[in-house]
Amino acid sequence: MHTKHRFLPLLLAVLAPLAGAQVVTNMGGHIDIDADNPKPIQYTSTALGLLGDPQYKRYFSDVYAKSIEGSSGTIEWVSDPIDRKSMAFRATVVKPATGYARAEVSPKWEYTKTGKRWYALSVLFPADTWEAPTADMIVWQLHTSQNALKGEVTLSPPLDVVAKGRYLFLGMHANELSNKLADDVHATKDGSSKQYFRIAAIETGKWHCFVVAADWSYTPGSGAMKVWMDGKVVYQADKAFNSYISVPGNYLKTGLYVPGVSGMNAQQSLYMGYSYFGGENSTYAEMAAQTKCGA
Amino acid sequence: MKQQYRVSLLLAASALCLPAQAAVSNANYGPVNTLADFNSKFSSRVSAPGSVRFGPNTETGVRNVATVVLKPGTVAGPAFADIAPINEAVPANRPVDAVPRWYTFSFFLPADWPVTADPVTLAHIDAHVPGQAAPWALVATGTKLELKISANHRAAGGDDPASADNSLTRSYPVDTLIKGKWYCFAVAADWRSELRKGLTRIWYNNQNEALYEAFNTYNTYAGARHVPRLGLSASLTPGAAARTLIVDFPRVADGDWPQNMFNASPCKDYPK
Repeated sequence: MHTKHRFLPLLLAVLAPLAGAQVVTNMGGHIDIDADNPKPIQYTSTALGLLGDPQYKRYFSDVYAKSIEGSSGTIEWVSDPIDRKSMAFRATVVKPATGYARAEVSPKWEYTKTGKRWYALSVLFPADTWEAPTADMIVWQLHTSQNALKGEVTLSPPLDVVAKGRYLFLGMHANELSNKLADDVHATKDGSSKQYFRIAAIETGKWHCFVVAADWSYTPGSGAMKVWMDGKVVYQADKAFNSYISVPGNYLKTGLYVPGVSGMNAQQSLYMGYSYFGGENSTYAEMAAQTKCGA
Repeated sequence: MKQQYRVSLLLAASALCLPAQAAVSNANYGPVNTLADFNSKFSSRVSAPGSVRFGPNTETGVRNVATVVLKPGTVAGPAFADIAPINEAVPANRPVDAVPRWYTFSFFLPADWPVTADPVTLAHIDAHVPGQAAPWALVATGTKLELKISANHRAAGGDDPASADNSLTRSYPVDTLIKGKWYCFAVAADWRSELRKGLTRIWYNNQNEALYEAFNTYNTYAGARHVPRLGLSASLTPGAAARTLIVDFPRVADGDWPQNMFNASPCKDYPK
């Protein structure tokens, strides 16, 4: 009995997201220690439940993975440039001679192929160093899983926000076809549905906060999406498919990704808050409260 | 492939700011000097008589405009007062080598514009498909100006026919409306109801950077015939406020450039 009680809170924490919990506690969120956990957490319900325990000290590697291209990028855990008492990530990319530049963090374990999922995140363009790029710089994305080694097509993210020049653009990509190259009829990057909407002018030196309520679907005629930026709805769609046939599905990344570096500046940095997830029954207010802008 | 090639050329040329040299057909760019000229180029659609007037307006200067008035009826229901180019009805799903159709819409909110919570359409491209929302519309709700898109990939008949209930909707906030200012839009569309087809590009207020672009994205209904309508429409109750909108003239063209379209608009001197 004692053992059961000891693990009950952990079990509930793990099951909570499945039951449509308000804000997911065992994926994404804050970190306490900027290091790899010497005893890495495994993807089991008991181990993941540790992250939902407020007493547990979270290592970076427990919660996030870095995605960095060669020597072009770094991720640091630093003081929030606005609220010095709290922490944030800083992504820095250096312009390489060719190819692309990338410095992103991605919360571990969370993939959603279809159905409802909430996301909350924050980005800040530093007032002292941000220069408007002529290159597309993706500052966060809900990408889809793809593995070229398994013969899967390389595709653009279902949802992303791109900094270009003075503006931020919301990008949306989708395709209902197979993502397997071996299939006679399959999705292609160029042939997929693509939408770009100019959502705002970039303001430096302040947090831009995003909340996304997605109902992921790769079936034409179904799916929904609602995106808020700084408290205002910047996109809403219903009965509009918004994803791909991919397994395990869509996942969140924040940071800088520059797919074509010729127009990028020599070096560029971006601050990012922690990433948060909500379940089916989450609300905008609950998710917005997790961002750097607050509710 | 041919269509994609054409679109790519268009994009590349836009990026390079090439001079206006595309073939323009069926464009009615010229000034509308007389009432006879207006009546020969545009038709009016009104739910109450006398709701469209032609001529200069004291708020917008010497330029000839159309002034449209939306009046509630004696019972709740749709009310409308708008103008459309005569003989303009581009069908959906044209041959793949058809060039996109271009449109401009320009409107001006007068000083007595009532700011109310009920949505009012200021411009739209009517699909003429019974029961379906316009595939493209600009809607004012309070001071909020929104772009609304609606479409359906289904056929008109069959086991799973397109209906208002199963059509997609998308909405995007464009700007905060201010009285006493012109708002101008240039739109290019290849109207498609088929999956992985369709093109929509929108520019706003003379700006170089597009406001919205969609490629390989269906943007209308099977059987649609697209008529650009500039003016007011809404569902009104008898006690609703009457409202007036001042509009320039909806202009159409084949295979044009946003700058050409804005040059003919009241926003031609707005900053890029």
